[in-house]
Amino acid sequence: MNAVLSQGIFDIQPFSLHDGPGIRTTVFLKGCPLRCQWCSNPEGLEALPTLSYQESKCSGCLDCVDSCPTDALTASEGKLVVQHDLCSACGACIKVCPTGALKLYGHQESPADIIDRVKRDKKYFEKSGGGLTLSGGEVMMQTGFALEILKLAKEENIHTCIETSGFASQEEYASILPFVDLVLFDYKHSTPDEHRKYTGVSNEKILGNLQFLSEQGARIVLRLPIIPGINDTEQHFQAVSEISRQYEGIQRVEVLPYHNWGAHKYEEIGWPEPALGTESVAPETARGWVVRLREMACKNVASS
Amino acid sequence: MIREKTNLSAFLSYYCDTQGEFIPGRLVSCTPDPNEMVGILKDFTSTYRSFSQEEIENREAACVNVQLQGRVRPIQPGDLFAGRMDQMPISFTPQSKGTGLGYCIHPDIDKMLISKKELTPESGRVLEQIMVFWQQEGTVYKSRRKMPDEVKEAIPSELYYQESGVAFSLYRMSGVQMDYHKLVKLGLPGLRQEIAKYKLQFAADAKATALYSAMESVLDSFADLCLFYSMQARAMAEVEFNKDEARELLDMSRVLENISKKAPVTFREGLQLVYLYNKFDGAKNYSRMDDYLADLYHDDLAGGRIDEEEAIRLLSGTWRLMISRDNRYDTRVIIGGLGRHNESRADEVAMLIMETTRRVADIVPQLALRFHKDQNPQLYNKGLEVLASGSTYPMLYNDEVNVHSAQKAFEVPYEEAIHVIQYGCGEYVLNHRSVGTPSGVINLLQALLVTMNRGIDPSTGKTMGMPLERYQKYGNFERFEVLFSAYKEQLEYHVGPLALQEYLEYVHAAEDNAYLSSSILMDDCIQRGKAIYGGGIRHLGGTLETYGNSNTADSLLAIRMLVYEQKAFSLEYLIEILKADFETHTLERRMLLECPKYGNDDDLADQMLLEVHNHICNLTKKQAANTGMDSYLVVVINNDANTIMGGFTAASPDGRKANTYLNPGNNPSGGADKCGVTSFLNSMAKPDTSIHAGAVQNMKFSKELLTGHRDMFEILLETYFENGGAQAMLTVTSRGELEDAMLHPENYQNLIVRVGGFSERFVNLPPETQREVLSRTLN
Repeated sequence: MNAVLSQGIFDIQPFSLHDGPGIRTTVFLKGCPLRCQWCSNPEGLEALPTLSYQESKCSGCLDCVDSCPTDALTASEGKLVVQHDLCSACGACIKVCPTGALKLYGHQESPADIIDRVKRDKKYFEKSGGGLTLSGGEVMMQTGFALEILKLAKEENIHTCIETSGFASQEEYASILPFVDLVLFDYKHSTPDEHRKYTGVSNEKILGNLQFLSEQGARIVLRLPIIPGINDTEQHFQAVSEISRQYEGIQRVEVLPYHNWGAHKYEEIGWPEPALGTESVAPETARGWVVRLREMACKNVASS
Repeated sequence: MIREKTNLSAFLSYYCDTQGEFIPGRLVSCTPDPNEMVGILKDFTSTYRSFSQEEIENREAACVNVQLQGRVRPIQPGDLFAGRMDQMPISFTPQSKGTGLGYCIHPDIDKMLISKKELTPESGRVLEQIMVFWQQEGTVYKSRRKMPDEVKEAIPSELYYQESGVAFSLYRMSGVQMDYHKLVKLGLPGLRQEIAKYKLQFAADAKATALYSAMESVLDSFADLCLFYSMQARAMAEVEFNKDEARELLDMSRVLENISKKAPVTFREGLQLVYLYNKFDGAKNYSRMDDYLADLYHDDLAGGRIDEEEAIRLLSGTWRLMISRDNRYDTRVIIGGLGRHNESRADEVAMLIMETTRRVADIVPQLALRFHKDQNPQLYNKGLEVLASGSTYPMLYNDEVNVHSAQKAFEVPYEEAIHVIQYGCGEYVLNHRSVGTPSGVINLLQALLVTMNRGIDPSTGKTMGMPLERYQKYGNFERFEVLFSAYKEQLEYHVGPLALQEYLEYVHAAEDNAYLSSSILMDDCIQRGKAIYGGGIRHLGGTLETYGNSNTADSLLAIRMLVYEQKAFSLEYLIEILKADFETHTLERRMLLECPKYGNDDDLADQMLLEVHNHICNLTKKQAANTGMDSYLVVVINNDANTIMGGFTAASPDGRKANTYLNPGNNPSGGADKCGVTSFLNSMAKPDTSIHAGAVQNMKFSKELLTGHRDMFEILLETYFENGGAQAMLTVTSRGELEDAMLHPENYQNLIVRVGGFSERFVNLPPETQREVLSRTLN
C-alpha cells in the first residue's frame, strides 16, 4: 500500500439545500476516522482513492485487465473480477474503460480551484443566506487543507459551514473555528459502547469537542442520523434532548432520517453492505421522532 | 328572423330564403358535405378568376367573402362564444398548416373531402380542374417560381421533416400580432370611420384607394360573419330545451349582433370580437389580452355587470374553445409588462387570466407573463402559484432584459421596444408594429458535419452545402481555427440566400395579396395606405430558426480538445467513428462525451457556445442591410423541429448518436447538464440576447422544489433573471412523468432535491432507488 496519504476531495455538489442554510455548494473531503454502519458515502471514507465498479455498466471488453499493474482486475470466464484490496489506485483502468463502469473516487484539487468553482454561485448564496459547506468523509482529517479552502472562502465573503463527526483534536477545531460560520455537528449515539459498536469509535472525545466548540462561541447545528433499530431509542432521544439544552452554542437540532440511497455504493467499492435491517425511513416516522424529541424538551428540533 | 337590410351579401343570402328570412336548418347545419364543398371551391375559384384583370385587393376581399360559406361550423353545446371556423381545402389563408402564404391548398385536402369516393363523378372532375388551377396559382407556387437561382441552389428543399439538409425554406406568414386594443376600442364602426378618413386623404392614389375599399369590404364580410353566428345562436336557442343553455345562446346572439354594428361595451363583447376576428383573419396569436380587455372589465365591474367569477367563466369559455380549435405552436396570450395603456386595470385582468389558466390548465393558450421591476409583485407571485399547481404556464419574460435587447436587436427606440411580445414558438415581435415570420430553418450541427466531411452529407453520402471548390483553401484542416473558419463559411453560404428568400417571400406575397384583415390592425397600413407587406408595416422583420446550437458548440470543443490539442485521434479517424455511429468505439465515444459541455457553467464549454451563438446571430443580423427588411434575426425556439431534424442528422462529435434529437431551444443537449441547477442557470443566462429575436429556455423543476422549497426556487429564478436571463419556460414535473424520467434520467437531473450530506448523481443510482427518489420528488 502506498504510504502517502492521498486524500483530497471526492465530489463538489452545487445547489445543496440540506447541508446548512440557504443554497450551498458542498465539497466532500476524502477520508474519515469513523466507520458508521449507515454511511451513505462509503466511497469517501478511505484516505486513498477508492475504486468503484458498476457491473451494470460493464460492457465486458476486459481492456482494463491488461492495464492493471497489480492483480486487482482479472478475468474469469469472460467476466471481470475486481479485488478492491489489491488496487493501488493508479487510475490506469479508468482511462481505458469505455463505459465509465470503473471510477476512482478521490482526487487532488487545489483550494484555489475549488473556490473558483464555488464562487460561481455567489449570487445564489447572497440571496439565500447560503454558501460553502465542507463535508465528506471527515473534514477534520485534512484540517490544513480545509483551512486553506475556508480562508479563501472568507476572502470572497462566502458563508462557511463544516459538517463534522466531532472526532478530532481540540487544537484542530480551534485552528479552524475562526473561519467557520456554522458547525454542523453529527451526533450518532449517546452510550460509549453503542457508539463504538456502530461507528468504530467511542463518543467521549466527540462530546468533549461539542462542549469545547460551544464554549468557544461556535454556532452549532446538532445533526442526528436516526436509524430504526439502532438509535431510535428513548435513551438516545433523552440524552440528545438534554445535550441540546446544555450547550448554548447549539442553535437547532436536525433529525436526519436514515435513507438507503447510498447502499448501492458498498458493493461497487467492494465492501460488505452493512446489515442494518431497515429500509429508508418514511416521512411519517421521521415526523414522529421529531414530536417525541419535542416532548422531551429538545431545543428547536426539526426533520431535515 | 328578418334582417333589416334588404340587400344581403352572397354569404348571408345562402342561409336565407327568397324573402330574406334566415332558414334555421341551414344556419345550424352549416358544414358543407364534400360535394357542396367542391361547389364552394368552384365558386371560390371562379370568383378569383373573375378578378384576374383587377386589383389584388378587390380580388382578396371577394375571395374572403366567398370562402366564409366553406369555413363556418356550428356552435357546440357549452360554447360561450362563436368562432368555430375551419380552413377550406383550398382557400385564402395567410398561415396554413404546411405551406401557405395566401391562396393555398391544404395539405390534408384528401382527408378533408373524405376521400374522393364520396364525391360524385361531376364533383370529382371539377375538383381535379380546380387542383390543376391552384397548383399554378397558389401564392406559394408563384413565389417559388420567382425565387432566383442563388436561393434555390443554396436552399434546395423545404422538407425539413423528411430529409437531411443544412437549411430549408418555410413558406408561410406567421406571427401577426394584431392591434386588438384598437379593434376593441373602435369596433367596426370606428375602424370604418378611420378607413374612410384616410381614403379621402389618399383619393389620388389608386392603389391606396383600392386597398381602403377592399378593407371596407372585408369589414362588411366580418360583420356578416357576426350576424351569421348571431342568427345561428338564436336558431339554436329556439330549439334548446335546457333553459340555461338557451339563455347562454341568446346572450351570445345578442353579443354578436351588437359587435356587428357597434364597438364593444362589455367584457364579453370584447372577447367575442377578438376571438372571432382572429379566426376570420387566420392569425393565431392573441397578443396582450390584459391590455385590450382592461377598460371593458373595469367598466363592467363598475357598472355591476360582471364580477371576477363571471369574468373567469367567460375566459374559461374562451380557453376551452382554444383547446378545441387552436394549435399548440401558437395561441399565445401575453399579460403583464411595460407599455400597457392602463397598468393597474390591466393587472386586474392579468390576475383573472392566470386564475383561468390555473383552473383550465392545458397546452393552450400559451400564457406568457412579462414582468418588470416596478410591476405589481402580485402578478409574478400568482404566476409561480399557477406553475406550482401543475400548469406549464405562464412562461416568464423578463422586461429588464427583453426591452433592452429588443432595442438593440431591432434597432428601435425604447418607446417601441416596450411593445416587445412573443408569438408562436417564442419569436419576438413588436406588438402590431412589426412582423417577423420565420422563412427558413438552419441546422448548425448539420453544417458542421457537412463541413467536416468536406461537402458530403454523412447521412446520405450526397454532396451538400457550399461548393466543393471552397474547401480548397482550407487544405486538410490542419488547425482547429481552419476547420472553424470553414464551418463559418458554410453558414455564410446559406444565410445570405436565406435572408434574400425571406425578403422575397414578402415581396412575392405583397404582389399577390394585401392580407386585408391583418393590414387593418397593423401599424402603419391604414395611415400609409399600404398593405402589410407592401410597405404598410412599420417594421418589416424576418427571422431564421436555428437548431443544434449547443450540440454544435459541444462538438467543436470536443474536436478542438481531442483532435487538435490532445491529438487523441485524427479528424479522419473521428469521421470514421461517427460514420460507425460509435459502434466498437465505445471508449472514444466516452472521451467525446466527457469533454466539457454547455450547461455546466464551465468556462471552456460556455465560451464555445457564445462563439457559435455570436457568430450565427451577428451573421444573420447583418443580412438585413442586403435586403429591404428592417431586421433579420435568429430565433432559438421551442417546437419539435429539433427532434425531427435530429432524426436526419448523423452522429456528432459531442457524443450524440445518429438520428437522435438536437437540443431544444437554448438548452444544453440532453444529459449534458450534470452539475446542478445553479450551474445550468448560470450557463443559460450567458448568451447575448440583444442580437437575436428570441430564445427559449426549458427548465424542469420538481413539485417538491416548488412547494417544499418555494423560497429557494424563487431565489433561483430571481438570480437567473438578474444574471441576464431573458425568459424561462418552466415545467413542473409530476408523478405522471415518472416513467419517462426512468427512461431518460438524463433529462431530469436538475429536479432532484438532495438530502443532507449525500454525494450522488441521479444517473448513478440503481433503478429501484431512482424510482424511489423520483416518486418522492415528483410528488
